[in-house]
Amino acid sequence: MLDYHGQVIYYSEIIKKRMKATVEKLREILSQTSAKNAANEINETDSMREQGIDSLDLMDFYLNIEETYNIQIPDEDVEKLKSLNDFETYVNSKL
Amino acid sequence: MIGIKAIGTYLPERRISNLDRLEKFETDENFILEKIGIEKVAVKAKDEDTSDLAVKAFNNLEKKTSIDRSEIQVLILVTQNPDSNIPHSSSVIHKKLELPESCAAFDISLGCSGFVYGLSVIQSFMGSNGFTKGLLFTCDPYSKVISEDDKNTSFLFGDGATATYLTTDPVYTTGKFTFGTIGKEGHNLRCDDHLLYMNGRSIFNFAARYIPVDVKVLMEKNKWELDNVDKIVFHQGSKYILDTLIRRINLPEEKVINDILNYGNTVSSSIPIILEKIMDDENNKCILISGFGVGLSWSSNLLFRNN
Repeated sequence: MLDYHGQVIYYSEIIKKRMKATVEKLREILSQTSAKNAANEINETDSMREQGIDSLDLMDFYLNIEETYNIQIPDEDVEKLKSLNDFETYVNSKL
Repeated sequence: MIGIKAIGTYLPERRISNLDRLEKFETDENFILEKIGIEKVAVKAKDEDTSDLAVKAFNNLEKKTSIDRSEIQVLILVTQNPDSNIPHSSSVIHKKLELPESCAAFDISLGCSGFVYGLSVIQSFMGSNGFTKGLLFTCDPYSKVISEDDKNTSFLFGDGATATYLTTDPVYTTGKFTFGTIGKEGHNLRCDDHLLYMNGRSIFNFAARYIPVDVKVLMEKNKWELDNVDKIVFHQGSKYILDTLIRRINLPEEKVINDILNYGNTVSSSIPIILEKIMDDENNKCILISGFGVGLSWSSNLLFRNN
């Protein structure tokens, strides 16, 4: 999470959460968006978009990932990330 | 104390239906209605200019409260899409309304945060000059700068105008304001060669990250509790942004007003258009308003009903 001036706040909670990404954890993060019902239904290998997660829920998903793992996901990387497996690999490579 | 006496609004009659454009933009009805939350956007007539819309909002204001035009001391217009760069459009409105030569008139260049900024500016200007009657206009017809082929913006923005009358006998007074700017992110919502560009993800991230913090700061600044706020009027960016703010701030859904289905995001007019609809309800003793967008900038305030 960012504070009022856009600076990163290292809450102890965030530090604790800064663990390895797993598909299970990513499903939990996705469930915090309005796609909560689909979070446990989609498979981890196919494109999330093709499984019905729309662009707005994906935006929210990216933001939640950034805040959970305290990483930045640039727009150019977002285009390459399609499935939950892609996100798992990507996030772990940034930790 | 200077505050809001009455608000007049104007929405052009013409609408463009988003549901008629589903195939063109490869989307579906559920996404438009449940996520974007905008079925139709209001679009001004080709021969209507910014000052014309503002004058129509003023005509509506005159039906609500008695105004002696000869007594108006200041007129401020919030816009980034004026009739032309020179002269400033507040001067054009001044001419069309035949306001007195003693009336100050100037524009403020701000987008979605503009109404809240404008309130602070006009109150300060009136207060420091001993004025008792002022007009704050908002009018930013984005149809002037939107391509109907741009999915990112043409689904969202609608045209509209508002005229807020400020006096020393107000219905609502303001609390302490919050303001902020992230200039380094300003390029994410900009106009190049008369065409609007918006990086939707950046704007979403900005609203989702900053506004929950700002609401907290606003409450602390005003020594007020969210439980004691009767209505919350966020800038109406999209239903998804409103839903995200409700979730992130953990707000009671019934307090947060969503009113964009039939006309779209009217930029700096979105907040006063809603205020006009709810300000006659005496149960609304405290209203939180928060505008955020172009700049990227934001400003929030608490409006208190004057007893």
